[in-house]
Amino acid sequence: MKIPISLTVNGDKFELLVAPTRKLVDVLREDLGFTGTKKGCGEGECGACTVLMDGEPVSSCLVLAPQAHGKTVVTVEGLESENGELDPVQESFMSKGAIQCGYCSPGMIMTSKALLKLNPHPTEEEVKDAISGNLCRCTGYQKIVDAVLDASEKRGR
Amino acid sequence: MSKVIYSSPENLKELFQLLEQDQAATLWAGGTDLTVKLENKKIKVSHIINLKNVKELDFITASETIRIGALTSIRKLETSNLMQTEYPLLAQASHGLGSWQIRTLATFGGNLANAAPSAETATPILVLNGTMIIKGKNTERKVPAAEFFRGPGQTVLKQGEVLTEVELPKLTSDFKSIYLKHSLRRSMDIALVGVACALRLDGDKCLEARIGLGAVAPTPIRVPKTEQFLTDKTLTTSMIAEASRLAVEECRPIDDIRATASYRRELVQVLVKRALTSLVKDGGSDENTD
Ligand SMILES: Cc1cc2nc3c(=O)[nH]c(=O)nc-3n(C[C@H](O)[C@H](O)[C@H](O)COP(=O)(O)OP(=O)(O)OC[C@H]3O[C@@H](n4cnc5c(N)ncnc54)[C@H](O)[C@@H]3O)c2cc1C
Ligand code: FES
Ligand code: FES
Repeated sequence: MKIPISLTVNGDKFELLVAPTRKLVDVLREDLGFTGTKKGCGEGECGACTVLMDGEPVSSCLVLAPQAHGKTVVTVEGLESENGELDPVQESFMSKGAIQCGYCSPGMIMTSKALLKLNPHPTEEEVKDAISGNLCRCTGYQKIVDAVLDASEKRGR
Repeated sequence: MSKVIYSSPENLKELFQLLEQDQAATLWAGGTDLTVKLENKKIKVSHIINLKNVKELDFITASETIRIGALTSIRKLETSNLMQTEYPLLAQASHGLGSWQIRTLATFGGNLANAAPSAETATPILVLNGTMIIKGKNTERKVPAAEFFRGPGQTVLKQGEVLTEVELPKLTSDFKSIYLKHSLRRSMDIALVGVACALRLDGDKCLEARIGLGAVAPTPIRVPKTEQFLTDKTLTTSMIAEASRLAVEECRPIDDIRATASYRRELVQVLVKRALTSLVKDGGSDENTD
């Protein structure tokens, strides 16, 4: 049995049919083509699949597609402005060298966005706590923390 | 082509109708335990009943008692002002559960019904003497938290029943509470040992002690002998050390993939000592400002 669902992704409304056990991450990547969102472990452990659902960060590999019915989802593609300008958080990730292979970056950036919305000027500890569900195998985290703090300073100006 | 059925009731009435029609249906809340089990083929599902739209189960209310609906997210428990002031141990335990991404999805009821011996919110509920409200189509029963857990993954819930809320008595203002957890990684790892502790203090004298331990027995447990021992004692360093040794004797940890039983015993001793010490310190400073 396939279920009709409708959801808003990055401002556009989509209607589609999904199997009940299909995951939101697969719908985003395979059905809708938002491949910015990555899938690492598929079990909630790595954070690569983090998207914002109704403004809150979630592991999209744990969300059943039908449970996303009626929800508003933002993926990393949704951060870029209409004229192609990157989000300040994305700019900071690049300028601070917080991206190596880049696999964790979309998830890291989405969690960081959620943090900065809630807490525009977090401490280093608060940044570490917020992104502790996002694993990175390359950077050793410090540059990521620096990038989030940098983005928060830019806001202050 | 998937043959799995999906239903999404909007209220308890619809939910119980669905449960009556299909005994084999699976209640699906945040899905943070279930999705992982499904991915690993540890469970089979034929009919998913999504609980997330049963909004009447998503609430925190305070009057003579504090009631928390089963659908309340762990994130809400972690960030609720009421939890942070009334039950610091429950707010802290919630903060320690998984990652932000998990806590947004995960529910209180799911954590309790899943009944892992390490379940983060279970020991606080035991320590707070919570009452589980369990409803069926035309039934309602109240089960003390101490009787709810039956073994790893097992509770008193019967087919067709739903955990709808947990009712918690308020603590008097002379109670102090704390939750400590030790795991291999700081985030996203279940506890090797979890300690929930609430003390009623008069300065450094303990009027009442309640201690819950997670991941050291088939269910989350209280340690009554240790609690008894601490009652009416002045909490000196040596008294605290003796109590943490007693707590070790009361638990029954096992060797598993994460840690050996003897390492868990060490952790119980260290964490109980740390919890008691920090509560007495807090209590002492309160006394000074009185
Ligand atoms: C990466 C990761 C890290 C985790 N870390 C922790 C951790 O540190 N500490 C911890 O305690 N847990 C942890 N968990 C486990 C899990 O997130 C929690 O147990 C969570 O609270 C489960 O809630 P849920 O709503 O997602 O449950 P679900 O997966 O939806 O359900 C769990 C079980 O409860 C049943 N159920 C749900 N709601 C009800 C109800 N109202 N009435 C009756 N039955 C019901 C379901 O049928 C199912 O059997 C982790 C999980 C992941 C994936
Ligand atoms: S892919 Fe979802 S958390 Fe790893
Ligand atoms: S940059 Fe490679 S995993 Fe983080």
